[in-house]
Amino acid sequence: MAKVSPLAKYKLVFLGDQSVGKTSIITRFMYDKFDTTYQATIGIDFLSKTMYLEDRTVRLQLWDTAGQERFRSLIPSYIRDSSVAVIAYDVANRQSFLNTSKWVEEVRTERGSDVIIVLVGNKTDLVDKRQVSIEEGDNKAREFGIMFIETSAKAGFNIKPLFRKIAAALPGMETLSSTKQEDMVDVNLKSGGNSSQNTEQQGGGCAC
Amino acid sequence: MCKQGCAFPSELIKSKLREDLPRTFPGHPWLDTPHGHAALRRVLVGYSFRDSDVGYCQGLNYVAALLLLVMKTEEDAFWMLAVLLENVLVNDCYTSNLSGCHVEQRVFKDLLAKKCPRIAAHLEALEFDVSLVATEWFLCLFSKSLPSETTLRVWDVLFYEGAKVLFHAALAIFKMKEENLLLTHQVGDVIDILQRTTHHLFDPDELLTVAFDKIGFMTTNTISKQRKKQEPEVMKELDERLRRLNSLREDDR
Repeated sequence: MAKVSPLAKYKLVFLGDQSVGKTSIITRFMYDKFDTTYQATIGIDFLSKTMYLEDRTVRLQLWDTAGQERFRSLIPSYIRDSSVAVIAYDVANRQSFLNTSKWVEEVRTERGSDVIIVLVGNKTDLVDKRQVSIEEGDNKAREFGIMFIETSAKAGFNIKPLFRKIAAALPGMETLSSTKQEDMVDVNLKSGGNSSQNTEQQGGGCAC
Repeated sequence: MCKQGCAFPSELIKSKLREDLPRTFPGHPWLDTPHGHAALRRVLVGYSFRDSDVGYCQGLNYVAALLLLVMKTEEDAFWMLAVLLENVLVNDCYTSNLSGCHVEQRVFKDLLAKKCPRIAAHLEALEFDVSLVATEWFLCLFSKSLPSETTLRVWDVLFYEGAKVLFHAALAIFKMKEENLLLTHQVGDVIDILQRTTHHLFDPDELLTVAFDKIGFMTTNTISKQRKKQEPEVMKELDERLRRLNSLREDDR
């Protein structure tokens, strides 16, 4: 029997203010769906998914967190273990954008520069309510030296590209972490091709 | 002025609540209506006036919502919330850095090692920290995890016997699934088992029988001693985190 290839495992922690859409982004990526109402996350939540890329397969562990300021004291150990931090804000809420600096600070405190950080401006579907332009987001990301993308979990816009961007930035297979080997079991997320299960997806079919 | 330095704490709280009210048991036929939202807002804002150190903490929305459903009037729900936070639960569960919550999580971890050593050892090997599931259990007093019938039975005992009941119930959930948990190889599987178990625990007796007959006797005194033991370490860790953050800020300057 063919040997089951080991999976590189990566931890991603999702940070950002209350109600910016961290859980929605994860749910869209995991199940390709969007509910109009999610329960507020309390503490930490966890999901994992195997991602099949052109040249390799990676297992992503997604750590979802509560956004309220006082919950930050619960998060450091999860940041410490993560190789990627996704810092989200709501493009229709300027304060949540301003607070991303604090979240970057929080990540740098725990990980220094040894971490991939992605700034994500979510809720681009709220066109009339936008308070933060794409240029501002881009400038801030440049200033911090981190990656940037705008998404709409609701419309399914740019969610796959977000995760492909992250996957592309992950350290290569040769530096495969010493974590345990696992079998490949998960649902296939075909590279390039549009998954057929949900037609609501508007911009999620990735061409990158 | 509140601790965060805002001149109008109630405005800040109201804006946070605006986001959380629709996210508290969404879809509930009464809670998720303008009437329900308004009632819940009044209870929570009212409590934030009573204790400005707590203000509004996420998690309380679920607790207050369930209290409202049971008590029927906002005033009764308010007082039940006050009794919970001031007489039943450990101090500082919901204040600025959730230090009380940190303490409870450490106490719980120790208790699990003592009461369910095989599970604790297995989870440790998987690098699964129990706070991953138990933080929500303790902050929402199970209201977000267990079916409400079961939650309310746990609350009955909680009001009657005190916060140690939370440990009993939490330990019982692990204990009930001992064999399944020992077969897991991944953190995600552990979480799946625990979430599936809690979501389907429709029979309160099943949980309470394990919680009190199989977990064994614990006194409030035992728990208090455990807390005293954990407090200094928690405070030290929280201080260190603040120091690290502050030194980073100075470097930036």
